[in-house]
Amino acid sequence: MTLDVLLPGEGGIIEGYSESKELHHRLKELGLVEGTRVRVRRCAPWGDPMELSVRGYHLSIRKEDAKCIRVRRDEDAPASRQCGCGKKHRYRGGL
Amino acid sequence: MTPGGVREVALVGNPNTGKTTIFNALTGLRHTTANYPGVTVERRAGSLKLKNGETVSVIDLPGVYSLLPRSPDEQVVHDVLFGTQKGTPLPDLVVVVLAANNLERNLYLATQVAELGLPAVFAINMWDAAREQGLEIDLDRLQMMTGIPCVATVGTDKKRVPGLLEAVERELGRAATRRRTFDPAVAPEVRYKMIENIVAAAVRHPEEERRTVSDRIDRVLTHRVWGLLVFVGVMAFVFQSIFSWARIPMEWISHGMEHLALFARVVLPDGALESLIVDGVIGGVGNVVVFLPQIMLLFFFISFFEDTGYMARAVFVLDRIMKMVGLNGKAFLPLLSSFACTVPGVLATRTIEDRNDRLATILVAPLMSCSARLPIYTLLAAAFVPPAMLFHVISLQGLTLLAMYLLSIGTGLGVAAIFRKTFLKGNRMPFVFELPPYRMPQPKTVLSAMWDRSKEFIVRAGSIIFLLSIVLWFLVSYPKQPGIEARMQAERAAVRTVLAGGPLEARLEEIDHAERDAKIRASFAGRLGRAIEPLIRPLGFNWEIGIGIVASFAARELLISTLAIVHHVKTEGEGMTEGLIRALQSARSQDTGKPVYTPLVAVALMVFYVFACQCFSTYAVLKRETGSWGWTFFTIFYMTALAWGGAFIVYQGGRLLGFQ
Repeated sequence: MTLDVLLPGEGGIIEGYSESKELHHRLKELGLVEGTRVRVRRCAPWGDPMELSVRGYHLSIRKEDAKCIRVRRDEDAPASRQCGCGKKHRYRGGL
Repeated sequence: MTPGGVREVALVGNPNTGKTTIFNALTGLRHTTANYPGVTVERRAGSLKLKNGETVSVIDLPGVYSLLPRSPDEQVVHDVLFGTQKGTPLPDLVVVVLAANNLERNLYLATQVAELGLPAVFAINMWDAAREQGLEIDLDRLQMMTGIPCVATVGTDKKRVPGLLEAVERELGRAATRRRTFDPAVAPEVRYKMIENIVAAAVRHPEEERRTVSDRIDRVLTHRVWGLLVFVGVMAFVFQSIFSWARIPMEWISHGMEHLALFARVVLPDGALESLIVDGVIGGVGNVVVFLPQIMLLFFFISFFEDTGYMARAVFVLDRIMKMVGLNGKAFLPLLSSFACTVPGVLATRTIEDRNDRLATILVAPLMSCSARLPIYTLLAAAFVPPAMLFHVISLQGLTLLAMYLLSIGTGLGVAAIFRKTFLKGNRMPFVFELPPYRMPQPKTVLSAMWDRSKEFIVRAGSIIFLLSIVLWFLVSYPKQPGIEARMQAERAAVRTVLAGGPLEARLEEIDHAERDAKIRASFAGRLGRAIEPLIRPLGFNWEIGIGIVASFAARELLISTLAIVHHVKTEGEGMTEGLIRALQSARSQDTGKPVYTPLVAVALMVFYVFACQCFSTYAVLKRETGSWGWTFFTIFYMTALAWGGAFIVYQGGRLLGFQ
């Protein structure tokens, strides 16, 4: 799965990038590298962008960029619901 | 080392590390700001007196995340630290400012800098905030693992930086011993592995992530309902203060300028010099200075929002909306600022990292209806829109104003969308930004940032306006018409012999007006106005409006004073607006005897001014910020085309529909 489908409160561990683009280098420099734990904190009022908690700080990332990041669900992360991430994703908890 | 022997200390760090507060704490508020040659990156420099009496120069480099240059900011930091930046010597010491509560990501840049081999100190800043979060950092271990002396600092508290001062002094006294090992090819994955080891050894995280005040504020400010409501409220407040409170000091300034002009008239001998100083210099510079209160307020709010961390939340909340037109959340504030004045709006685009995003924002910023257009709308609406009320509550005149603003916003966003889909397609950077913890604003930081930016506005806009005002003054005042002057003098003399008292004064004033009118008609500007008449005929404008359009190329508000001159209205003091409104309503064409201005022409003229790029300061700032005359002329061209097309559609369409 990719980072953009994680719901607020859910955590994931980055497995890699689905496509190699020069502009993703910046995301890596900001700490979004393979093996990094991330947690979605919330989404903006219209569902995009999303706020991540990564390496102890908070980062806003657009869903179109998050889509390029492959993650696996982090079972250890506390799964608490905060505000919704856009109607579309509201009931996709079981994905 | 600089040629004069003063040693250089460079401050480097990520954004949001409190680097500027450290800079202020080290240098006091005495510093100079300028730009690095050829780029729009701000260079802040100050000086620091060490305990041993040596004075060193401190420069505050822009906040960046990495040494690999991808943006102009990063290029500057890279070049300074590699000694290749023109005009800035290789620093003798680098102080890396790190946020204690965000060490992992901050160490990415810090370890890169450490590998450069320059003498360095790590200032672990915001130490108090990290302690509050329950973070424990072992400075000795950190020092051991990075090989760089580490000191804890609290930049907002002057008493908490002496450790840094001592370290700076100590390290400056030591010879460089480390070698450069920096390898730009090291993958971020590898560097972060190394950093994870450092952090694991030196930092103890609290058992449980504490819910901070920042989290609680965020729950409201980024909430889908409350967040938006707060945002709208904040923006309404900003607008209210810019458009109503700032009016008061603006009036003081314009009165002051009037008095200055009167004084200059008295002091200076009559003639060309007096005219140049009074009409050219004082008038021209006054046109810029009068906006200073609005601009200072605007910069105050921007600095305040940046310092508290609210700016990032506003960007977060708005990004989705701005994305619809191909811009990003950071474009919102520059566009909003442009409603006050395009110049600060364009300057505010510097926070946008991506080149295409930034350029698109700059190119449409002049379309936002700036406050210099407002007097034109109000005048024309007052003169030609009936003061009727719609449903007894909404005034038609108010509605017309609103329509102009909506037209400006709608077109601006539409044009941005077109630009981003055509020649400014795609991004070079992902749109990511940090949401830093909220902080209490530091009055010093906020005010000093406001002052630096306002100063830049004055210098940038002021200098170009100064020069071009003189050019415009020349166009309006020359060629001299000795014939007209002689004739008017003769007329004055004749009148003096037959009239006296009140009637004489009135008649003399009439002659003055007639003289000014005749002069402006015969001037270069007047000839230009006549020359462009065939071009503006299809818009319903005659050559009198043509002169106004030519004159207002310097600044839009000149349209009003020019119209006042060509319509023989007293141009100074009270009652000018009322007089001008009456004059406009009763103006008849000399050829046909029909009214020059009809409501339709007035609306076409308003639409023309919504779109037209008529402002010298805007040209100057466009050239400066895009770095090319090409983009500047492109903007002037496309906006003028829009203005012509818009006015054409309104006038010709209106006539087809049977309006006059």
